[in-house]
This record gives sequence, C-alpha cells and structure tokens, in this order.
Amino acid sequence: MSTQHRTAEDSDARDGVGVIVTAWDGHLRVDRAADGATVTLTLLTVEPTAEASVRADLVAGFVTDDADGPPTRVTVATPQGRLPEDVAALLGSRVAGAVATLVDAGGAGLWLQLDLVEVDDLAAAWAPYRARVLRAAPSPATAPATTSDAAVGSWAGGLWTSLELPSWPDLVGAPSPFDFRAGHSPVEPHRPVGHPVPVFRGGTADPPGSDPNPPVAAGRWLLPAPMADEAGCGRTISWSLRPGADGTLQMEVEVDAEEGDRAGAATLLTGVDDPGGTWEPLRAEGPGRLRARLTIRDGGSVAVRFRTGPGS
Amino acid sequence: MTAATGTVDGAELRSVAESLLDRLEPDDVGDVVGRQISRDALVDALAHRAALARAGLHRGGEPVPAARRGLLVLACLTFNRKSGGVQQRTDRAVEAYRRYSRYPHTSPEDLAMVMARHPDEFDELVPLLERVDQLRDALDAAGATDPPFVLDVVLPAVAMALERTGAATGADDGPAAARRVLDRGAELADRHRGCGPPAPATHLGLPVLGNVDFLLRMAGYRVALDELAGGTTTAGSPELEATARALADSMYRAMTTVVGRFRLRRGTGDPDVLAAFDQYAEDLGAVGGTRKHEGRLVRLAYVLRTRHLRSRRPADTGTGSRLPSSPDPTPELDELDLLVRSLVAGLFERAAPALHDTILEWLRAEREPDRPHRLPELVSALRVAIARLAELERRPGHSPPLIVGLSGRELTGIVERMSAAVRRSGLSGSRQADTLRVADLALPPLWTRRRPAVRLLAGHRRSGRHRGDDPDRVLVLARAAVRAPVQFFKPDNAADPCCDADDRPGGDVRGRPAVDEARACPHRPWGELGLLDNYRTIRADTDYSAEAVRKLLGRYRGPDREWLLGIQPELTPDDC
Repeated sequence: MSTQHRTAEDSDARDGVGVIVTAWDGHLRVDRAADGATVTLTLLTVEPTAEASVRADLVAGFVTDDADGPPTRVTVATPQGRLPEDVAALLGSRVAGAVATLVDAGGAGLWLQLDLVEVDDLAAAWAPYRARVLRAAPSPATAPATTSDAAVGSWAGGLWTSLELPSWPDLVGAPSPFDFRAGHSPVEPHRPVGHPVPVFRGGTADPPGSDPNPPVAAGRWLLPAPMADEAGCGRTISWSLRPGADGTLQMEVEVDAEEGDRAGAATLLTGVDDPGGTWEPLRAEGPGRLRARLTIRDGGSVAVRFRTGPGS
Repeated sequence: MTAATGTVDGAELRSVAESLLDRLEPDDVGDVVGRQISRDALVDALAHRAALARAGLHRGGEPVPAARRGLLVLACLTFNRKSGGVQQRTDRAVEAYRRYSRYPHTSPEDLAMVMARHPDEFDELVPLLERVDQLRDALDAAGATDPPFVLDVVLPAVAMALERTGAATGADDGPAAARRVLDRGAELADRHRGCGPPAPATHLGLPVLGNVDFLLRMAGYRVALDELAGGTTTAGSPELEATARALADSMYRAMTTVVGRFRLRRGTGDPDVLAAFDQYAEDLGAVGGTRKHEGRLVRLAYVLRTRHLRSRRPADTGTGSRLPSSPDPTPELDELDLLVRSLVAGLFERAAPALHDTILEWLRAEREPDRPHRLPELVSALRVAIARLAELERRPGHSPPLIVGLSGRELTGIVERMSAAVRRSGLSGSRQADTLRVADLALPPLWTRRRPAVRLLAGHRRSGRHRGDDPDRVLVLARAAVRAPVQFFKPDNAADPCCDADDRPGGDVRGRPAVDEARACPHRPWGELGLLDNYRTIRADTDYSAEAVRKLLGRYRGPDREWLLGIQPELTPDDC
C-alpha cells in the first residue's frame, strides 16, 4: 500500500464533516408553550431558513437553499392542547404521536431522532407549503423554478395541494370581501397570473342573466397533473364566489370528470385551508361535472386545499 | 504470572505492543514512533523497556495486572515531537505508567492521542473527558434522547462548571445537573423565540448564525449553565438576549481574520460550521465570561471527543485480552479473504478515528439503514473502498493492504462476518465478478431510499467547507456520490425512461420489480445491480444542461472529489 502523506489541512478538512447538522440529520425538537396554546417543532439545522405563516395559526419555516427540504420549524396553535387534524396528518403518525405523548405527560419538550425516510416523508408532505414559503423568501437565486403547476404534497397515501385566491382588492376591488353587499355587480372573473386558461363569465353552466345570485368573482385554477390523474378528472378547476348567509361567502368549485369507468379513481376532496380543516368531496352533479361548495368565513387571504382520498 | 523474564513473557509483551501500535493513529503518533526504526525493532524495544518497567514495579510491590499491560507499553513511548520514540530510562517509563494508571476509563490509544496533541494539558483534559463520559453514560442510562451533537457540545461545559463550582459533591448530582441544563436551555430558547422575532440581527450573513434558532439554542444552554454556576434562576429572556448577542460577537471574531493577529482557532481547511461549533464549546465552557482557560479546555475536550478520540467507551481497556489466539492470522489468504480485507482496508483508509466505531457498527450489520448519523463520511469511505477493489481487479496478485486503527481481533471478527455473508452465495471464480459480489453481499445497506441520502449529502456539503456553493451543483455531486456498491454511472445522454413510477409509490422502492440493469434508473434500491444515473437523470430538477454536467463530472477536482471515483476514469483514490 502506498504510504500517503497527510497534511494538517487534509486532516482538519477530513475531520470536519462529522459535526455538521442539517435538517436531513433528523434531530427533531418538540416544544410546548407553557400555556399549552402552541406547539413548536424544530428540525435542527445550521442552514439559513425562511419562515412564513402558511395559513391561520400555522407558521412554517424551510431551508432556503433546499428546494426539496422538510419543514425546519413548525409553530401551530393547539386548541384544547391537541394538534389540528390536518397538521397531524402532515406530520405523520410518529411525530404526531410524540406530540400527543408530550401533551398527555404535561411535559415542556422532547427530542425525537428521525431517520432519512421519515424526514423524506415530511419533505414530501409539506411540499405545497414549502413552495409558498420559499416563493416569498428573499432569495431569488434559490427560489423554486417557476412552473405553472402548484406543488404537490403527500397526504395519508394520497396527494394534496393548496391553491391561493388572488388578493381581495384584485378580486372584488375592496380590501375585504365582506365590504360588498349582495347585488353588487359582478366583477370581471379573475385570471390568475401564469395560468393561461381562457376565461368565461359566471363560472357555471347557467346561461347569463338567469342566476338570481350571480358570482361576485370567478376564476380558474390548474390542478397538478398527478392529482388529476389519480382522481380521474380534468385539470381545470373553476371556482366562483357568491355572497352567502350571515355575511359569509359561498365558494363553488367544479371540474370535468373523465369519461368512462370511475371505479378505480380516487375521490377528490376540497376544503378551505383553515386550522383543522374539513374536507368536502367533489360529487357528480350533472353530466360529467364534479362539484363541491365551501363556506368562507374569514376576510383574510384565502387558500383552498385539494386532496385525493380513497375512491368511493 | 510472576515470571518476569523469559521468552514467554517477552512474546506476550511483544504482542501487546503490536496490538497497541495497530490501534494508534498514524496522524498523531506515526512520525513519533515510526520514524527511524523498523516496526520490528520498535516492538522489540518497547517490549524490552516494558519488561524492565514491569520487573521494577513488581519489585516495588506494584504488580502490573493483565488489563494494564497496554498502559505499560504505552508508558514506554515518548511523545515529544523532537525526540519521540521509546523511553530510554526505565524510571521514566514507570513514572508514566503510574500517571496513565490514574485514568482507568480511558483506553491507551486515546491517552496516546491526548498525550501527542496536548501534553501540557494532559492531566486536566483526561479527567475532564472521563467526567464527560460519565455524564454521558448516566444520561444514556436514564434514556436521554437529546441529539448526540447537543450532548457533545454541552456536557464538557457542564462537567467543567461542576468541577469549578464544586456543585456536585455526590455521585448522583452531576447527571441531574446536566439534565437541568439541557432542559432549561431548550426551554429558554423556545420561550424566547416565542416572544417575538429572533434577537441578534447583526452578523446574520455569517455561517451558522444564518440560522438564528441554532444560535438561540446555544445561548439558552449558556444561560442555563450560568444559572447552574451561580445557583440562581434568571428571568430568562433578557439574559438570553444578551447572551445571544455576546455569542454572535464572539462567533464573528472567531470567524473573521484580523490582520496581524495569529489565529489559533481555525485550521485552514476547517469548514465554517466546524469553527462555529468549536467556538460554541469554548463559549459554553467559559462560564462567567472571563474564564479563558476553562473555555479553552472545554473546547479541546469537545474537539478531541467529537473528532479525534477513537471511541467514547473503550470497549475493553485491557489491551491484552484483545489479542488473537495466534500471533498473526494465517498467512495463506484465500481469494475471498483478500477481497474482503481489501474492502475493509479501503473503508478505513482515510476514516477519522472518531468514525472507526461507526464503520465497525455498519460492517457488523448493527446500523439501521436510513440512519443519517455520519452517512456522508460513510459514503466517502465507500467510494474509496470500491475504487480500491476496482484497482485490485485491474492489477491482480496484490497482497492485502495494511489496515490502520483496528486490532487484530476486531479485524478477524469483521472479516469472518463479511466473508460468511458472501460465502452463503458463493464466488464465481471470476475476479471481476467476484469483486462486485463481495462489495454487494458483504456491505449492509446504508439506505432504503436514495433521495433523502442524496439530500443529506447535499445539505452537509452546503453547510460544510463550501458554504455558498450553488445548490444545483451540490445536488449533482451528491447524486454522483450516492451509489450502492453495484450501481454505476452511465456517462452518455440517453433519454431512457427508467422504472415505472407506479412501482415506487411514495418514492419507496423496496420490493418493486427489478429494472433492466442496462437502464439508468435513479430509483434503484441498494443491492440492485445496474446503471444508476446518466447525464440526464443526474441533472433532474437543476439548471444544469447535460453538457454542463458532463464538464462538471469530468473535470471536478474540488473537495469531496472521492465522490466521483468510478465516474472519472482517470481519478484514483490517491488523487483524492
């Protein structure tokens, strides 16, 4: 064997790798606020991260240089001391179980060592929120490549995504949708930037003028292709907003169902991206159309989630 | 037992000396012990001096127990860089033996390492290290789940604080105090973060400081240590804020070159993150803010424990009991033995001593697949080892290379286990095919899913020596590195589809139907023979063109270039 001369520099450099800590090393810390109102999960890393509120009561952070990384920090409100169901689903049973154990024991914090597959599962689950946070991060060099497709995450064996409505001023010309009154003339349906989908008025198949409660805004989203494939539906989701009861907004979403046998197709579910979150399946309504109705109660920014679940 | 002279005794001490020399780190003691005399002459001289020292000790009523024969031989070595070698005077050897005997929990090779590196601090560092290990063992026994790197950086400071304040008089107080510091530090960090935006906005462009959470966590431990030393409880947040700022400042100084001032803290090849951790250790150790000497000792203990010492728990302090039953394994090595030994030698070739136990654990199939712990270093070791095997294939007839850092018994056990794993399937007789088969069968899987392994390497590389490197470039290099033993890079630009996406739900490829081995498939599970990547698959989701990838992989000579062994035809382990 050749004798190798090692310089001090080689030796130092060779030794250096062992102490680096990144999110993929899987050192997860769970902390519970003293009043029990929030739980914070931190996947320790020495890399710079960006953090943003991804929906009400949920703040998530991600490593800015990692376009596929897991959440490095999640702060979530825990009503009644429990994780909301949606966050529990995204964290997976082991992490969510550890949080429940911590809450039951009344402890302040605990450590969990995740393996690579568990970190990878977290990274896959949180993809839609990661895209949202990194898009807003002040690091254009590493921003995810711009595609017209929304990011797809994994959710309990299915897929999910979160699609945002444009801001209210853009949509209805008012800072809050709850400023307008019923009977306000409908605005031009909105066409989201980057989604070159032809616009049509009204958002439903009803002939113009026959709608007693015309939409105040309407537009389209593009469902990510893998989700459309799983659910056996088209990619173009039409949405429309109408004033509802008690000052709420009613949102109707609909999509074309694919022709033929739907036995093997997954169910497409939707829900407002709210804490906890409820899911409404899109049901066949009329020939070849799947439709669901959601109630929007909050005047803040609105995002709507879609996920695929087991077929009916 | 009492035979102080004679050939039996001489042979026994010789073999203790052989075993000790096998395990000493050449980086530290190689130039001391192996400079001018042959190994045989060195072993003779050591055994001779050891026999004299033993006889002297015996006469004085201090018989040397079998378990301390390794220490006795170690005591016959001197570590002075100028006149290192074998003790010329028996009384000096006896004196050194008595000194080393005070530390029964530290292995002779670790004592040698501290002696070679920090002779002046030896009698402060070794007891500190022993106290740290005691704390660590007690916490482990209590089921602590704190990440190892947190314990590594916090416990030396706890041990120092306890020593200095005398807070722990009973044996049970130390671990309880350590537990309090660890919990209190985490609590303070979380509570502070919950109060508002992260505190230290200065120096944010700095490595490690880029992650404020990390800095706050360290500041939390520091405040907890201050509370321990002062016997007080602080309000927490203001102290933490101030401490975080002070930490940020000291980190800034540690990482900034001041013209005209000699910087001791960083080796030229150290990654920023390494310097940062050293600085954290020092700052945690210097409780009170002005205890320079304590801080320095804590840093040295941290650096030694995490990077240089062979293992945290000496498996067996009695070097003598490690001896193989016969002085040397059989000289007639069969083909399988040769291949396995070459593979093991390649894995250990450039592994830091602190990695040795991790490699052994892996080779004994005691490592869980998908464990992130030290995976980047294991992948580097794997690349070197596979390249050495390939050399063997090209130039047959080699004798097995020297394996550094393993005792004869450890080596024999490993080789037997690995050979048995191969033998179950048998060899074909073709050197080329058998080389692959040995690598495939003898090495337990390091991952079940390749994607997160790639991401881990990329993350380490980004935060290591080449912080600020283009993430796409890092990703391509990491994909080149993460290849299992029978997986290869295909250097052309064929746009073959790989395996069917339906066969790998959720990215998990365990149990899927095998893909044609001539097809580039980045989703191959460990153990599946075939082409892993080509220029097209390796650049997926990056801004690299196939041509840019070709240039990068063909010409790259930067750090971690061993990742490309087997991809660059002209690159050999000796170039890395």
